[in-house]
Amino acid sequence: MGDIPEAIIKYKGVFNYDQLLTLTYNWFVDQKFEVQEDNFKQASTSPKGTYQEICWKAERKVNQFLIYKLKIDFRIWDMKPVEVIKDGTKQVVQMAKLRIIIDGDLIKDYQNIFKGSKWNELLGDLFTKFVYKMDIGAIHEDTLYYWSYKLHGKLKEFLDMEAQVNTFEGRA
Amino acid sequence: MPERDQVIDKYRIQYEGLFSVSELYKLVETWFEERNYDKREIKNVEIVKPDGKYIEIDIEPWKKISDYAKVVIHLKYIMKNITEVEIERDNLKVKLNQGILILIFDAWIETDHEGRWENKPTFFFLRTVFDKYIYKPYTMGYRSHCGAEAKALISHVKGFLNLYRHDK
Repeated sequence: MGDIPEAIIKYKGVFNYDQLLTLTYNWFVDQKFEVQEDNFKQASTSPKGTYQEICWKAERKVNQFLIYKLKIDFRIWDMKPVEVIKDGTKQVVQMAKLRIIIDGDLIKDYQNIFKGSKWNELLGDLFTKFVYKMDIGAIHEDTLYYWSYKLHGKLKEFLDMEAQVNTFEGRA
Repeated sequence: MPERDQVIDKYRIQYEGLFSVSELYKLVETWFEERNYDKREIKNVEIVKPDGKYIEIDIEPWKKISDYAKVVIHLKYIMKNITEVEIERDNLKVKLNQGILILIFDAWIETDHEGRWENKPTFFFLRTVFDKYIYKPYTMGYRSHCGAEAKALISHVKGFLNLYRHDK
């Protein structure tokens, strides 16, 4: 677990796999995150369906000291294509068990400003523990936290889950 | 580990019939948001089954009431056989859900949530003495505040569900 608590979705039913990944990617890009694929694993198809693991890492620079990092981990079990009729047209979607975990971290001093000598490290400690402590705790951690819930809400909306409202959206 | 003082322990509401899952979820979210709680959704599970959806949601919003204490309300929703139905209300067709709803409420006070008083044995000892004898009126105040908040939420939810009893 990172600097913020994980937000988890578990779903079993039909969904459009391509659209799910596109939506997630576009959301990150819209929020000015740079996305990188950390892990992709696909197990050979069994009679029950395919197993997939996808892990994306998205980063956004906030200032010279901080980076927001969000991690999204998709685990898909027993994925099989199925045909459904949506809005009067036949579509091929996926039937599967899905688990999504959104996790976040604040990367501090990514440029190693406060590294190199004992004096710099001492300054860095003072900066993180006193000068910038309130900003990290009260502003940046909260922003990242509610951003993770914004994405969480978007994904629930996409999966057409019943409990999908996010009244806390304005806090991010 | 912060000290946990349970105020409401597994208060349960069970309801069967018509209601709106999304409206109920929204009502609870709004209630917490308006009272300045922080959002925490631990679990959100939805399984589509032939006899209706199975939904399980765990939320645990919290609110800091001082640097030393915070109120935590834990609410577990369990919904079984949730199907979509259409009813007529004021000559208008409205989509609602039907099924079994179980709500379990817990509420507690967490003191020393930042773990400042447990680094050293002396601090830990002092904290306990402080909590039990000197700070007691405040701790009791926190407890009653937590209980009142949880009860207000429970009656809010009960009122919401009561409204649906008249829909057919």
